[in-house]
Amino acid sequence: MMHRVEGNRSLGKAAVAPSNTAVYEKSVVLNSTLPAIQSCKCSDVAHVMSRYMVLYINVRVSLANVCLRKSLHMLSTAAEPWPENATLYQPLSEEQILLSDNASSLAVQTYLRMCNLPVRVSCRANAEFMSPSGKVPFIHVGNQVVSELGPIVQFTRAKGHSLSEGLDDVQRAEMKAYMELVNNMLLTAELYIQWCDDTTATEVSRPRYSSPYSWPLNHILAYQKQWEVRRKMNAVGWGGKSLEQVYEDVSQCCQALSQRLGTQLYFFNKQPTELDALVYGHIFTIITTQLTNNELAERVQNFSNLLSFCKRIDQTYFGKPDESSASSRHSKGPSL
Amino acid sequence: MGTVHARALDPMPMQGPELGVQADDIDLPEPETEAKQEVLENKDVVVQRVHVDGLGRTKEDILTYEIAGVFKAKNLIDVMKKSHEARQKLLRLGIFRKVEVVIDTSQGPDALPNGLDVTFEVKELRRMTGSYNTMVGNNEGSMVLGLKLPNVLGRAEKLTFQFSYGTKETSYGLSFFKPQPGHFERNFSINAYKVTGQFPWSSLRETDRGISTEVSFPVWWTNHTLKWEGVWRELGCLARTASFAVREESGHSLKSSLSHAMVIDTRNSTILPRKGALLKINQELAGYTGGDVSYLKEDFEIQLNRRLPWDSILSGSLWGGMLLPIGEKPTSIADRFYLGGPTSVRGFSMYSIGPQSEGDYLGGEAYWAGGVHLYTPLPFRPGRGGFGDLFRTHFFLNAGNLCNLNYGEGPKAHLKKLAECIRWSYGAGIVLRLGNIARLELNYCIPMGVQSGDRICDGVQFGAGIRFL
Repeated sequence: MMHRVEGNRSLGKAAVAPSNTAVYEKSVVLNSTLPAIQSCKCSDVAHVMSRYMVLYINVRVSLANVCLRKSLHMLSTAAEPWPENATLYQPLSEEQILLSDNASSLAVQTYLRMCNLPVRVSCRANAEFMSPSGKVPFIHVGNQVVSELGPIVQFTRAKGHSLSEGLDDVQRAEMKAYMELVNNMLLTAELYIQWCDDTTATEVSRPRYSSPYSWPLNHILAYQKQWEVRRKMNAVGWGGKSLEQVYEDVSQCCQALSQRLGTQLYFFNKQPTELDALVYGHIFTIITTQLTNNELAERVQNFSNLLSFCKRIDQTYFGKPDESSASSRHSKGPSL
Repeated sequence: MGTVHARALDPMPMQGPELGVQADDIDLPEPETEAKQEVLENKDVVVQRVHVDGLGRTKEDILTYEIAGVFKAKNLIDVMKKSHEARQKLLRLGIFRKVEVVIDTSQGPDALPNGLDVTFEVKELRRMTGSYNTMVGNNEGSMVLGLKLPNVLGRAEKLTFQFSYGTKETSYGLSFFKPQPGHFERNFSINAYKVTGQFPWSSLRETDRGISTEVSFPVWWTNHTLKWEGVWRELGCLARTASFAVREESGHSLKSSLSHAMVIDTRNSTILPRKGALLKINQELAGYTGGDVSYLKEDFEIQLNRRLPWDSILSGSLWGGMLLPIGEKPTSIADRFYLGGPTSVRGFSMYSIGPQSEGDYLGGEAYWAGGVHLYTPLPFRPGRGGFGDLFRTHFFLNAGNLCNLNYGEGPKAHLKKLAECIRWSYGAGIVLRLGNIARLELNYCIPMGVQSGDRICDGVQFGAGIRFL
């Protein structure tokens, strides 16, 4: 028994590792393309995206060997079915969770629903510290723990569940590029507004983040987190940005997404992919979350096709054919 | 040690037949000195003055308490005895490197014929002392820097700072200690520290940052310590493969606790006692002074030693403890008790008894452990009276149990739970005393009553410990 557990664990690690390296490589590429995105006009966004994609494909080719070998390795572990007691962990949804974590958590929940994989949502005050990567959400499946959307997508693929199987290589690269765009623009903007805008940090983020802790630990942890995020912002070059510039970046990002989506049902024809889950997670959370002002939500609400896209996914995957899924993020069964 | 010079006795009269003859010849002054010498030896004396030479930054008022006894001496033997005691007291303050005592007859205009002056010649410790050590552990090396400022404010206060920089962790501790003048046992200390511990048996890493204040005082023949401690604890998994039960405990908590400890120790040595007994009772109440951890913890330790013929010693010990959570929250892995290892229940691996999840031991809320030892000198007694006395052979029988209590079952059910599935072991080995702080044991153990999930160490087991069953 013990031996088997150990074996599975190490396989689980192998499954997660390549995606991490891939993400790292990609972000290097992205950093070099980001200034280009920022400097161009909105109409050029599509052009930039294609450039972005080419760069991404280059990286992907260089990593292809590793990935291929690993995915073969992963396939051999796919035998185990999705367990009934799979659980997703996130911070306390009422009093603690912040916009960015809520968005990431919603994205993962949406993705798992799209894959028809039931998961129970568990709110823990220490979810961030339980996560192996220090980021929420993470899922506990069988005896494996996987955090963040990218690795979770890899993990479910290893289990034989994938939304992007039907895409060809170019489309897949395009999808990855847009996902990186969302992570690098929307997520970073959310973090910036939460922790670098003093009003939001003082009135919303710090009190919420530290709500489970008692004095004086609440202040220590909140300032520690703020300092950590600010250092990260400086590292990615957002430290000197003004709030207005960040809103502008959000608009540009939404513009790119809006143009790519056009009048389609999902980003890639009629099939949802992880990109749809990610975009929905962020946009839906932004428009439904009350911050100190509504500026962020208003910027996003300018794009009507993104709004109707969110509404559609909300109804399809979180809609209420039955009453119980009103508090739907906890329901176990698929709600298609 | 303890060189007590009595200068007044130096010009001792040569008592012999010739001297007696000479005594007849000499005139008045000579018999007077003779008389004086007689006074010193047999009759009452008065200690007129006590000098302390060599003081630098030490305040005099603290010393008056320590040397007050000398003034009470009534004859010379008493003066020497009291001076020796005073010297010991001065050395115990930890502020002098050297103390010498000189007893002399009083000089000067107001000198009484039977008056004595006692002079303590002291040498203060340096203002600051430092130490530097390197330690190598399993897969880890560290460098320890220590700074000590004895007698910082002139009244035997001590400030110590220790900093350890390791390949994996850094820790530090700052402590200030102040005894009450005249009562060294009544003292007060404040500590601030950061300590990181890795507990591989639980796949747990714990970083504690805390402050504590404590007051110690003797009452009758017991010693009490009252302590308040505030600790910010950060728990994390030691590896990605840690069990989920340990992962669930990760994160930050703040513990604020009041504790009381009582110790009665009549043993002649803490490591290899020949006689005497020890009783230690410790209780801790967390949560009433703030923080987010609430519990009541009680534990005790008893040890009895009996001398037997042929230099052998029979020793028995008993430990026990209980942790009661207060409120809804379950107890934390960092507060629970652990059992097993080369200095507790021998024959089991370090802290590897009781509740576990995927091979990570989670500790228990109640435990007991007992041991009986028969210590004998080494066979054929090599190195008797010297090096050989650091060693003993021993035969032991250990037993213990550790479990969780689901509150609501009642005390009877708890006792029953602790009485079933008892782990025990027996064996023999060699004990080495390391200074007066620790001991090393090399034992051959036979573990019995092993439950599923326990990790055993069948056969030879080696270990070191400060606390032992």
